[in-house]
Amino acid sequence: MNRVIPESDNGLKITRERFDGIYIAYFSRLCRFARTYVLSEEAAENIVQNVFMFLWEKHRILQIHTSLSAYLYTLVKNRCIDYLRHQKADLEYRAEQALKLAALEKLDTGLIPGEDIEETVMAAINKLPSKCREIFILNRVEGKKYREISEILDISVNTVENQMGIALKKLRKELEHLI
Amino acid sequence: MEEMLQKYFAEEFTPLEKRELLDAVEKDPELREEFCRMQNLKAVTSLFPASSDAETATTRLLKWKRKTRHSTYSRITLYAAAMLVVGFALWGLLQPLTRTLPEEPSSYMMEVTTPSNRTKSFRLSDGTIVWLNSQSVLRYPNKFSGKERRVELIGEAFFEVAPNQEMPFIVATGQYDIRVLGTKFNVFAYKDCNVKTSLVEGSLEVISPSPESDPVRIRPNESIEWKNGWQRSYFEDNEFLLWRDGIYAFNDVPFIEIVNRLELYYNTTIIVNNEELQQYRFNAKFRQDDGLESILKTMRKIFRFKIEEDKETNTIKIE
Repeated sequence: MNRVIPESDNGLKITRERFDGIYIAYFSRLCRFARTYVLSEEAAENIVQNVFMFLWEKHRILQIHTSLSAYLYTLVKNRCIDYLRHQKADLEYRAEQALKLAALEKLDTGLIPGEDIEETVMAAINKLPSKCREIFILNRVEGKKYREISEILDISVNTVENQMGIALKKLRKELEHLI
Repeated sequence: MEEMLQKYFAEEFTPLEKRELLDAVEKDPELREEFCRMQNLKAVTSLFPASSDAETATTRLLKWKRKTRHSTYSRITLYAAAMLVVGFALWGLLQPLTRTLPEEPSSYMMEVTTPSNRTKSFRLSDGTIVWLNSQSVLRYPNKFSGKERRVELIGEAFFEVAPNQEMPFIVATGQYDIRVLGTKFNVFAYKDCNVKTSLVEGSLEVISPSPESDPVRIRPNESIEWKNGWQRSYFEDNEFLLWRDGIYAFNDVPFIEIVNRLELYYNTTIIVNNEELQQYRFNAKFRQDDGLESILKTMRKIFRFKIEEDKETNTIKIE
C-alpha cells in the first residue's frame, strides 16, 4: 500500500522523493473529501492544492507524528473549516453551509492513537456484502448516479437505492466512533 | 426522514425536497445530529481510492510543476512516482475491486526527458529498464495493452527489454521501427541523424522504412543503420555504452565526429574551422557532468585550438 508509516519516534518526514508519490496517492481523494463539505468543485481543489503547496514549502522542517493520512486529512479539514467560516453564502445556501460546518467540527480525522482512519474506512467498506459494496463504490467513490449504476449493473434504480440504504446503515454503525 | 437524508447525500433530490429537509433539520436537533453523521460518513468513505485517482492527480501535478518550474525537481522523480502509484493502483489498491468494477483505469502516454549532461534510468510498467542519454525524449504508455509494447524515442537510449513472447516491444524512431521480444540493445536516434541500432544480447528485427523490403534481423555485436538502405557494422567492445554511467568514451575517433556527438549531448552548435583538427583522432573518456567547456579544454591539451563562444546564438567556434 502506498501509505507511509512513521519509522521512529522522530516522526515522519516528507522527503522530496516521496512528495510526488504522496501527491498522486492523495490528491484526488482529498478533493473528494473536501468537496463533501464545500459547495463547489473548484473550492475543494483549491483547498487541497494549497495544502500541497504548504507541504512542498515546509517539507524540510515538518515532522509528522501521526499517520500520514491522518495528518493530510487534518490539514484539509482545518482549511475547510476556515473556508466555511469565512465564505459568505447566498441566503439559500447559508443553512446548508452552517450544517456542513457543524458536521466538520465534529469530525475526528483520525488522531485517535493507534488507529488509522484510512485503514478503518477501507476495512469497513471491504466488509460490505459484495453487491452492496460494488454499488456503494460506484456511487460514492466513482461518482455515478443511481440511474447510471442501474444501467451498468442492469438492475432497477429501486434496487440501487435499497442497496445504498443497506450499505449506509452498515457503514454508519461500523464507523460510528469516527463520525 | 432517513430516506430524505440518503437522497440528499446522493444528490438525487429536487430543490423543493432539499428545502424541506433543511427546514426539518433546523427544527429537530436529533435529525441535525443524524445529518452531521451522514455528512461525515460521506466524507470519510470518500477516501476509498477511485480508479481514475492517479491519472487525475498526475495531470494536476504536471500542470503545477510546469507552472512553477521547481528547478530542484527532477521530472524523473515524478514519472517514477507516477509509475509506482499507477502500479500500486493496479496491483494493490484496486485488486479487490477488479472483479466488481467494470472499467479499467484508462491508459495515457507518459514522457521522460533528459537535460544536457544528465542520464536517467527507469523502469517501464512491463519491467523493461531504460537508460536515456542527455537531450533525449522517451514516450511510453503508463501501461501496455493490446498486441505490442510501443514506445517512441528521440535521442539515445539503451533498452533491457523484459521478455514477453506475446507482446513484442517496439521502439519507434524518426526513421524506422525496431522490434524485439526480450533483449538488450542501444538505439541512437537523435533528430536529423541516421538512426543506429546496436544489439548487445538476444535478437532483434529492424523494420525497413521503405515498404518493399522485409524486416532485417541482426546479431549480437552488430549495428545497423539506414542510409537509403541497410548498412551493417560490428563493434568489439561496449565502451560506447558507457554513457549509461555518465561517461562518453571515444576510441580512435576523428575530432569532428566527437564534436558532432557533443553538439547533440549538450544541445549546442560547434563550428570547427580547421581541417587538420577535424580529422585528428582522439582516444578519450569524458565525464558527462564535467560539462562541454571542460571537455573541449581537455582536448585542447592534446591538439592546440582556440575556443570562441557566442552565448546569444549558442554557438562555439573552434579554430
